[in-house]
Amino acid sequence: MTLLEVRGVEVVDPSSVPPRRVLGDVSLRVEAEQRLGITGPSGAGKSTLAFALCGLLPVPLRWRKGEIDIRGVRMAPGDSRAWAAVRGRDIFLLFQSAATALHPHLTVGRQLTEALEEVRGMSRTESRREAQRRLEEVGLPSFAFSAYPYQLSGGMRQRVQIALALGLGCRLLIADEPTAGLDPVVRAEILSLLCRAADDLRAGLLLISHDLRLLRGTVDTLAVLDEGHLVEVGPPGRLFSAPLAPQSRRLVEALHVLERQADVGISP
Amino acid sequence: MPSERISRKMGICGATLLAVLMLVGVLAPWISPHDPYRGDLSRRLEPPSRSYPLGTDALGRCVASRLLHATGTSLGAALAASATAFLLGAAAGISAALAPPGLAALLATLIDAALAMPALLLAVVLAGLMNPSLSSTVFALALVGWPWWARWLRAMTRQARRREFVTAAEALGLGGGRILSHYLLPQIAPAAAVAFAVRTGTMLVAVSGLSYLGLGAQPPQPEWGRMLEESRLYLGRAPWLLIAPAAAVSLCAASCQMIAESLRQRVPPGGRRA
Repeated sequence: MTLLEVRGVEVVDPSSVPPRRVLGDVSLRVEAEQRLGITGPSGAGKSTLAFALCGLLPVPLRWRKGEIDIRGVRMAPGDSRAWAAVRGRDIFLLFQSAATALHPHLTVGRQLTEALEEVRGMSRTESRREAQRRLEEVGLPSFAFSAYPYQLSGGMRQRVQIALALGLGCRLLIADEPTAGLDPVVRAEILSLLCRAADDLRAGLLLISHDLRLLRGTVDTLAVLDEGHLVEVGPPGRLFSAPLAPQSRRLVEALHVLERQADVGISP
Repeated sequence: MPSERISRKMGICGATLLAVLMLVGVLAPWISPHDPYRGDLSRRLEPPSRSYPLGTDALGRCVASRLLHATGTSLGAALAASATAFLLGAAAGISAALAPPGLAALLATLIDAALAMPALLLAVVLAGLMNPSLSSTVFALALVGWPWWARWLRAMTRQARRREFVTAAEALGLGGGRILSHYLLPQIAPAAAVAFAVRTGTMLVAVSGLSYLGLGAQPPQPEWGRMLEESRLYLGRAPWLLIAPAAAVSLCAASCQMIAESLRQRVPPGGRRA
């Protein structure tokens, strides 16, 4: 089943002179249980793509052309009601920094129960029980329920976001650099937790990261975004062994350089 | 800039003063030594004495009793004008910040146009066009006060909306009502409390100003601005007629500023403390 279909989407920044194309002619498709990785250098438009797919483009960016279908429903750029109907229900966006993505003055438990009440229409007791269950499922200690986000570590906060995705039961998870700023152990834990969550939900996973090593073992399709354009899409194995586009070649070569440096012990 | 300790004391001082003034306003009928409306022409313009603590006015009425009764009138009118302006401005400003682009631009233009008019002059004209009374003064001041609130709250709401946790709440599918009440208003409320205290102080001076011009409270109703106007002719002979209401207006405006300053020190620019 096709969860997400994007055809020729173009996003512009009308505030720059002349108007700059942030995303140009982007087309992609995510099926149920598929894991699509999107990579590219900084400023390539990866996060913009994630926001565009949720209808949450930051001001002053505008979606100018193209079509986005979410589970077969055509989304219009200005139709806030249609977007509100799919957010949190069909599509879930996992933010890069959970520190800023969680409400700083509400406890984790309250944020989960409120989302469950509002989006899934649960009662107060049901949502409380479900929130506690999901927090436990992602490996958080029981005190996390009544903790404020600033009382948790970066990895724990990222687990809260995954607990939200599990609780809401979304069919498409979009994760924008979910492991940025985390140490290697926590990074691996969060990644496997995210993949497990996607499997449990039988959801599609759109994983955005500039870390090729992380994507290599995780996704089954990899797309390279450069200056707002998708320059290459293919299985990661082929993309790593024989990249076609010069931009992908550059990324893969850079990865090889890093790996060689790691082998001789001058890794950063 | 006063230190945190001094500003805290100032806040307590201002709040206590304002609370006492409000209490005085409510209790005036019971604590006044005399009837504020009844004069004794044989005791005109008497200086302060044991039976008339603040002297008497040109009609032989007790100035202290009139001052106490005026506290409720002036303070009540200032609070009513300030609160109405705030509510009108909040409705317009928050709508302008959250509405779809076209409507938002229209509202923003309307707010700017309203803000371009000289407020106090417009209040004088509006109050003059209506029957001069305290309620028309309140109405006129609320009508000229809302655009300031609208523009300020529009800016604050837009800024609050840009925080990532608000975008994250939208991404979660939370409804507009919940985002407004749980995610936006708590960010705006502390700074709005500071601004409200400042604006109420300004409103108090404006209410008294309009009454001084004869557009607000009408004789024989006791009101601070009105009392100032009545004292004008007897400045040389009976200065207590001026000093008492002038001190009351200043004290009240100062206590509003003290509360605002103390709140401002406690509210970091980005919103509430983590």
